Amino acid sequence: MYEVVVGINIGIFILLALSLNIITGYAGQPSLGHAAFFGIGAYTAAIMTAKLGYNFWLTLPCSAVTAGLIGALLGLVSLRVRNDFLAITTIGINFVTVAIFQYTPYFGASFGLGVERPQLFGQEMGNMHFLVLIVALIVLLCLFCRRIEKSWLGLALGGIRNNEEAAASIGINVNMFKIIAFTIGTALAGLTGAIYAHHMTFIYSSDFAFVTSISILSMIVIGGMGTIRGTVTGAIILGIIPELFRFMSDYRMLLYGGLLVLMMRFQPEGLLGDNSFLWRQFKGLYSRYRLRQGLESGKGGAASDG
Amino acid sequence: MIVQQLLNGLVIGSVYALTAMGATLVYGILRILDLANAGAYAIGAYAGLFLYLSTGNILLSFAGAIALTGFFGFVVQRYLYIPVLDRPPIVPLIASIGLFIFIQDLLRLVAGPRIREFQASLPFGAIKTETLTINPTWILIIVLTAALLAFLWYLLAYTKIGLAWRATAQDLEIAKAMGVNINQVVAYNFLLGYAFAATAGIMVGMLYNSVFPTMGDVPAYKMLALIVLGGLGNPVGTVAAAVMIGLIETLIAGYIGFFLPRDAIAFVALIIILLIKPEGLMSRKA
Amino acid sequence: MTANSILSVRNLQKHFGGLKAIDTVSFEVNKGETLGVIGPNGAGKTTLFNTICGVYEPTAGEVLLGTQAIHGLKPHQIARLGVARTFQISHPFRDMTVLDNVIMAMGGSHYTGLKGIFSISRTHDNISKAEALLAKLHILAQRDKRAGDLSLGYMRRLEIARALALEPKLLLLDEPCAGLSHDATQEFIDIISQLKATGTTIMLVEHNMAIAMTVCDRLVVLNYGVKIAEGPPAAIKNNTLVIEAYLGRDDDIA
Repeated sequence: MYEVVVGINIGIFILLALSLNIITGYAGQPSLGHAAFFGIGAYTAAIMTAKLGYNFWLTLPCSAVTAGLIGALLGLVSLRVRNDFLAITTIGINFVTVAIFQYTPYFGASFGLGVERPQLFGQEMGNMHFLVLIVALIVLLCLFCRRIEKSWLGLALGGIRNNEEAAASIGINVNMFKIIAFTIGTALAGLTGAIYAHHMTFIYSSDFAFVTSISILSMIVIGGMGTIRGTVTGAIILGIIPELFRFMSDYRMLLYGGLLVLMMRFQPEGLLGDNSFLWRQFKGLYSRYRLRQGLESGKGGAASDG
Repeated sequence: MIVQQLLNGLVIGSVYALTAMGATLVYGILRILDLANAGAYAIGAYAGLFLYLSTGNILLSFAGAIALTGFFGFVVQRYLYIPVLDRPPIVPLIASIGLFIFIQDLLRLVAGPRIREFQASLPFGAIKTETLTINPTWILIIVLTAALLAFLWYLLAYTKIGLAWRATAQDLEIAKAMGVNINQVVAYNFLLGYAFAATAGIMVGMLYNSVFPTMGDVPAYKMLALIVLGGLGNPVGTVAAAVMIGLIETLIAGYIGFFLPRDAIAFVALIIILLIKPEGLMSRKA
Repeated sequence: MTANSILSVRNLQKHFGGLKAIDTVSFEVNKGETLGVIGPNGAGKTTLFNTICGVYEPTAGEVLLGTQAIHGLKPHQIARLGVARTFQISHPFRDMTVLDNVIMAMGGSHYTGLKGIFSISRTHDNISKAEALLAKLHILAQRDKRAGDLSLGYMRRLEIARALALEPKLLLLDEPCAGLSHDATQEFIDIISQLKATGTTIMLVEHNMAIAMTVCDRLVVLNYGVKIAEGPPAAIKNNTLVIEAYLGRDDDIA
């Protein structure tokens, strides 16, 4: 049972990391307040079921829409400042959002909000059900991200990440695509929040604080920003470290901080990013393997694609 | 009463100005948001406290903490920021966040998580009138901040290094081409910026009689808001924004009341400003 | 406006505060020609370039593409209407492959509407079109490299390939030879001549008179934001106003 709970926690991290990767990895917009949208989704869902009596499954789209709308609004406002100042705006949003949850009685203030586990076919959803739901969502989200990478959207976001002026010069509407990235990323964080609230059955404002935002960002940075494999790997690594090294739990933030500094200084592409050391080794090995296979099977043609 | 409140606001604004100045200077030339500057603030507070406890001399405690933190700033820019300058801006940003988290946790592990008292006796007493009491810490904060900012202003306006700083802030590439030694400018910048942060840290420690590992949290976020409000790397704008926010916070908390904690006021102001005047209150652009 | 005019700039003004960076400039770029805009440093060439591309909004005056007014439009709108540009300081999409850099510029109408943005970008058709452009600029061998790893000369070529992928009516080049070695400059002059030969309409902003004289059919000379001369290179060469403008500024004619 313990493994299932750990699996759910890591799964939630993966969903959050993948959603942030769309904003920060693909579009290159540094968001330091992703946890706010996770929280907006969680509170939306908790209020819908606990206070208004709606069905859990209805909260999934509603949380996504609420978080996405607020995210689009944030995107719209942030477009007015220079790119790197988005970091500050997003910290501000995180700060204000948490303060609102913490100080508004309707949101449970510092007591938090309690919800009940949802029903599935007349039975209460157990941890295993949540794990299945989360894994299914991860698969769908990976497929969705893959589609983005292959589509014009992926190219447009890549252009914006690299150089906004140049992107505009080839007909890409920079502002519109930034808002699209924000909307998708924050909506997915909101959706994850709805699941989190109903799995935890109790949410506190502090669950969605700046530290959570930094943890999510650390995952994609350490794994390899802008890639699905890196993002998932980063979420798994940072999700599992505290479980494996329980005796080290006192040093967790020290480890996070140190890792971030070292990573940025020596391997800013992350562990498995496109130009990272490991990934280049892997690609080298793979192409050598392909070459050898080509030679052995007597097809000389394989050599020509290098 | 109103005078007392205004004075209180001025004191808090002074501290904000000092804290945000280091980060403003760094942003001005490198376009890096140096969150670790708030780590230097906590380091300075701890160094100041321990020096004071071991020597009993407040002057020595200031001098020692400033020297130590300034040196730390030098190390940070030389071995962390300079090597990653040609990377995308998110790289130094995340590095600075990592460093900030690292510093805070290191302080917690070394000095313990509990709040430490910082009761310093100053070589001068309070100023008292019939309606008004200005305690010695307030005097120290206002005088020292004014002195440091005046020193900075002199440095930027009248010295060679100040000229180099301004040229670099205008355009790093052109300054380089004109023969400005960028590394030197950056080194001075961090020395000074971190020294300012340390001074602010000690003074806040004394003001609230408390020094603790996460004391840099709120200043870190607020400092960033002030950089934006002050016009993105403009030292004068930052001072103006800092004093203004200090006053607004004090007055709102003292008279009107606000449904959010007072530390959220700076961010609410930030969001409002972004909506109506996105280039900041005092923009360098014409 | 002549019948075959692609771009017409009419009484264009761009002021920054009190400074008149462009002061009532008019000229036309005709179909198939290569027009050079030259002038000493600070003459307003780059401002003119950026005003045509939509980076700056003009203070007064008109810019027409064919018969359509494009002043006041945003850069991406102007690009979609068929004005492609390169940058003086190369701006390739550094962490993407050379091939992707070119394909990105072929998005066109796919960049609007939800169905468009989610459709596949690297189709066989698009890849072979992009490869043809890379071949035209002699950088096909670099197709899988990261654009950021290219040499300056190759980056400039990539930018031209990317601009051509827009299938532009007009190609704007901003000092394409700045910073290049003598040999690389020669190669670049050849490339521009080759583009001319295939009928591309070009407006070239150039500081270096010798290059402009070699590749351009017609020149417009700016000084302090004012057009001081216009005509074929041979006439410009002997124009006393132009010579004074260049010499009077302690600037090399190079």
